[in-house]
Amino acid sequence: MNYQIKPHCIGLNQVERIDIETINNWINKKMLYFKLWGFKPDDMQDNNIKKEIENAHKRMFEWAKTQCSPSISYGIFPCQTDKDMIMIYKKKDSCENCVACNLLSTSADNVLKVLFFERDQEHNISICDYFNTVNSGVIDFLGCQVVTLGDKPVQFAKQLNDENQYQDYFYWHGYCSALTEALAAFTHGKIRKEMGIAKENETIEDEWTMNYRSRRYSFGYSWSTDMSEQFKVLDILKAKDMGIIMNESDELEPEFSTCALVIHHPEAKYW
Amino acid sequence: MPNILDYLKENFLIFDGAMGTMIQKYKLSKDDFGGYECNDYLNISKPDIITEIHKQYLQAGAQVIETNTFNASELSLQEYGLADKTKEINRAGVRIAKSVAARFSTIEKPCFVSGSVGPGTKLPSLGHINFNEISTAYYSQIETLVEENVDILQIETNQDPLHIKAVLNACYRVFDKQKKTVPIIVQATIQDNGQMLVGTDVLAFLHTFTTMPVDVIGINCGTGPQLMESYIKTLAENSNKYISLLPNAGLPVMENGELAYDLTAQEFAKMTADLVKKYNIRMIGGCCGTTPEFIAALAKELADYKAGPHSFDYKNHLTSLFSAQAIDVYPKPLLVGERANTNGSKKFKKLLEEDKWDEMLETCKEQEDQGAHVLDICLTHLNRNEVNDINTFFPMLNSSIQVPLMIDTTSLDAIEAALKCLSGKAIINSCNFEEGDNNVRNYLQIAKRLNSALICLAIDETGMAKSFEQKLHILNRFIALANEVGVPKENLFFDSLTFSLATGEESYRNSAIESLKMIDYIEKNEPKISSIMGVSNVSFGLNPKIRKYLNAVFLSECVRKGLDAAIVDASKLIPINEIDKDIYEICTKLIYNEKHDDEDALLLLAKSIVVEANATDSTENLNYNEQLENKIIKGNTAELDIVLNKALAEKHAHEIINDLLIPAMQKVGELFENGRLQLPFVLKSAEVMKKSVEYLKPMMAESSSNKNKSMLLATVKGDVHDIGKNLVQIILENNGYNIIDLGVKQTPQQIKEAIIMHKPQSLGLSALLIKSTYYMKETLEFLKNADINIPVICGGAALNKSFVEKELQPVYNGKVVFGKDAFSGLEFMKEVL
Repeated sequence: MNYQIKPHCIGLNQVERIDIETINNWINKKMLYFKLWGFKPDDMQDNNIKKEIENAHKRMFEWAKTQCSPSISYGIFPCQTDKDMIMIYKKKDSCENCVACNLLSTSADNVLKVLFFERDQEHNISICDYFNTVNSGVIDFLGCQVVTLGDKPVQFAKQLNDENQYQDYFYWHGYCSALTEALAAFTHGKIRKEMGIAKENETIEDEWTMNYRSRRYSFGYSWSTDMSEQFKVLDILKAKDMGIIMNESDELEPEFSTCALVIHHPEAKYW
Repeated sequence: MPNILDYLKENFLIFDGAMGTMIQKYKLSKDDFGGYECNDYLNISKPDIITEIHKQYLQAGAQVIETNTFNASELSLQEYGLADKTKEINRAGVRIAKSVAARFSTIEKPCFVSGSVGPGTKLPSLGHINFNEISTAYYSQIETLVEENVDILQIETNQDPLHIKAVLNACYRVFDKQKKTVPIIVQATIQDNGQMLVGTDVLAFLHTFTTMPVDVIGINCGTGPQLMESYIKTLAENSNKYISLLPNAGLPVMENGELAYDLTAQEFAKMTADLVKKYNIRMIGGCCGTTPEFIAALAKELADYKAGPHSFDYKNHLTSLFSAQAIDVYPKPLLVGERANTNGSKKFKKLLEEDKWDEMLETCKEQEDQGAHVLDICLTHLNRNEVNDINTFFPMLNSSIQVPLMIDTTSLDAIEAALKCLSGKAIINSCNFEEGDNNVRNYLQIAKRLNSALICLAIDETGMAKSFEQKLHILNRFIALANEVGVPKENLFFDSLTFSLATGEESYRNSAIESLKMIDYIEKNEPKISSIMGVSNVSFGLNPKIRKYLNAVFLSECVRKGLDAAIVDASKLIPINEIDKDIYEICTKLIYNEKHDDEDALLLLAKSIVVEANATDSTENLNYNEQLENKIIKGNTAELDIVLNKALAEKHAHEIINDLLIPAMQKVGELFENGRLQLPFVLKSAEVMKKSVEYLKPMMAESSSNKNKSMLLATVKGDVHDIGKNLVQIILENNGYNIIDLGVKQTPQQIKEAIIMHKPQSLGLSALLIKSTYYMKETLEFLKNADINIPVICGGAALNKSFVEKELQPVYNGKVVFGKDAFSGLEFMKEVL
């Protein structure tokens, strides 16, 4: 099968105002209820607990409308790999609507950034295995994304805790974590569409069951243990403009932010 | 010629491609069609053209050719004015195909003829036509195909599972009449939204037929191979039958104003062959737009491929028109909603009497929303015609209820009518041996013919079975009869029955034990058979307040023994963790017929519930310490000040905290540790605690607050995450400890200075990220060098016990402990102080 994709558009795209309701719909309830909030799946059979959960979700959603300002930055970038490096190329202006990126220069001075990855020796696998190499003569594409809910929800969480609203503090923190994840999933969906690999009728269920082509790789896992590489991705995505910084522990601030690479190869998997 | 199924055991079979596409290429005139414009009539008017098409496919490498009878049911032919030629057209179709196949067939590579049966244009699930009309109209086509000895019947391009059920019904009637059986392929057309036209998903389609006598379940038409992988994967992972796949030549595109498909023969062959190999598909071919060129390319791709072994494992499901429901659910049991029942619900009965069908439907939807997995429907009414009511209400249920249904009636006519309205696979509730074997045999035959599961109650000619031995005897009779009729064990449910424990009569005291024994027996010895129980009978005759507790405890015991399904009112079910421990114990003793402190459990239960019932109705009668405990455990702040004032009239503020509130919080902690209370509720309890303490604070002398039991808390350098730290703080503070919270991103230096200043008894460090766990280590080393050695508890997502023991403990002089959750801080404080 030919895995080559033809993205509809390449380059950086930042979106500031995203509708909370849309993102709320992308929340993986199983993750929110059972992982973040600590309920058990059989609790849902108890109507009182079910109601409690649903009311809490509703309440958090209402707060989110005023407390969260989701924004995202993402892009599809021309690239190739050389051993365990991804070379991200600059895009030519004339390339805006051009999908046959083979015309693109792959010379060294056209390299925008180089991302380094470690090969997992045990499984002999690296993220770079999923791309066309510099010797292939064919351009490939890498998706990058960073999302944030802004700084306000962190302050709001603090306020709840300070006011001894322990339960709501806990619910809010969990909700914002789930909302951040939902925002990341939503952005991933946008990238799929722009890459031209989305299914006709992709549903939110498809998202939760990962029933789609491409995978989202965050930093700090076995495929990218060196967190400092994330900085380059943030740079490409102009994350600073969104108020996102990476601190001395290589973690993102504000707290409810997350960054990832999107790899379109149909066989891409986690390890 | 081998039997096609024997051949399939070790081989795959390539089918031909499109017939219609090929016929179009001949640019035939109206005369060639004998004036009928019906492809199937060419069997009579132009047999040589059909012969030539078959020949081209066989030459291309096909081993199975489909008869040109796709539209040759009486129902479809009627639209061409050809209904009276049904037999003739089908007979000619089979004979042409047979004669060509015979010429190409060799011992190494036998060729087969598949009798094509198309869907027509009317969908029963949408009310266009009913079950009996379809079954009657397809009979003559199938009769002829079987008479003419097709090797297999191919019911294809289906849009509606109910249509398939009706056509299968015609097949089985033909088989009975001709005393022979022909293998059957059932194929659905799955649209690009993953559903059949009427909304059935792939799993529901599959499981509607897994327990029916069909041999191959597959997909044809709809889309090209490029969109079929996820559907085929679902089939491959869940089917107990061979799989067939006949995709179109890609997705439709318009070319020069004409419909065409977007794949070349090579692309089609490569994609399709990949699916064959990956998912072990045994029957493969083409549908719309495919030609001999496609089949030849496919044959080439598969030239060296050998079919792998086929797994027949599957998990039994019930289905509705829309979706499939596994019988084995986690957590058990499968919940059957009982409220749409004219015998059990006065409200529902009244709605039926007033013909309020929409409101009846609402009752059903409500239960669906409340989490019922299956809905029991009983429309039996003394003064009404049940079959008519079923024919009105069941089509409504079929097209609007997402979960499978249980047909609750003893009338065979009513059961048959209901099953003919339902697209999915339902359960019949129920049969019994009161009138002997013959009666049960009738139920089994309907269940087999219309593919339904069937419940048998533990009742025989002597009445309801009380002892385990009697129940077992009835189960064995049921199994033997099902085996004789040919209903698979997967479709059998057994209700071992239970009796009320309320009578106190000696002969019923062991009845719950006997039922539990039976459930246990089925779980261990008959894993394919499902056990089911109407649990609430156990408490019949008791006060409603007592009933709910006894029902809950009994259900929990049944599930422990392996009960698969329970008929319940899901909205009235109380979770076991909300039951007072004493009541729980007494209920258990009543169920197991044990004495409780030498007192009769039943009597005790009645007594204790009076107290409990009062307690839940109003807390007025409780004394303040019970009220306070109640408020903390339930997380209820209403009128908290009133209760606290009551307490203050008798006790000092610090006594209230130490003797009442903290023990109550400890109880909360125990409930959490035992999995009986979820973290959000614990935090609500902590809120009540905090509020109480704030209220009492002004009344306390400064010295009485416990500065001695203090912990310094911090999230380490470089880490902004504080949820974990804050949860520890909440729990500790509200258990009477004094917490100094430094906040997030605390450097080793800041932590050191704070320890020197506040002199806490212990230190709590939190870190979320891998990198911050190394800062944690750095902090501990730094503190060691500053001669600090107070006990430390470390927690956070990236930490584990072994990291704490192997990496952190060695670099520090004092004790270092791993905190796995918010409550380990509490344990830690108790231990070190």
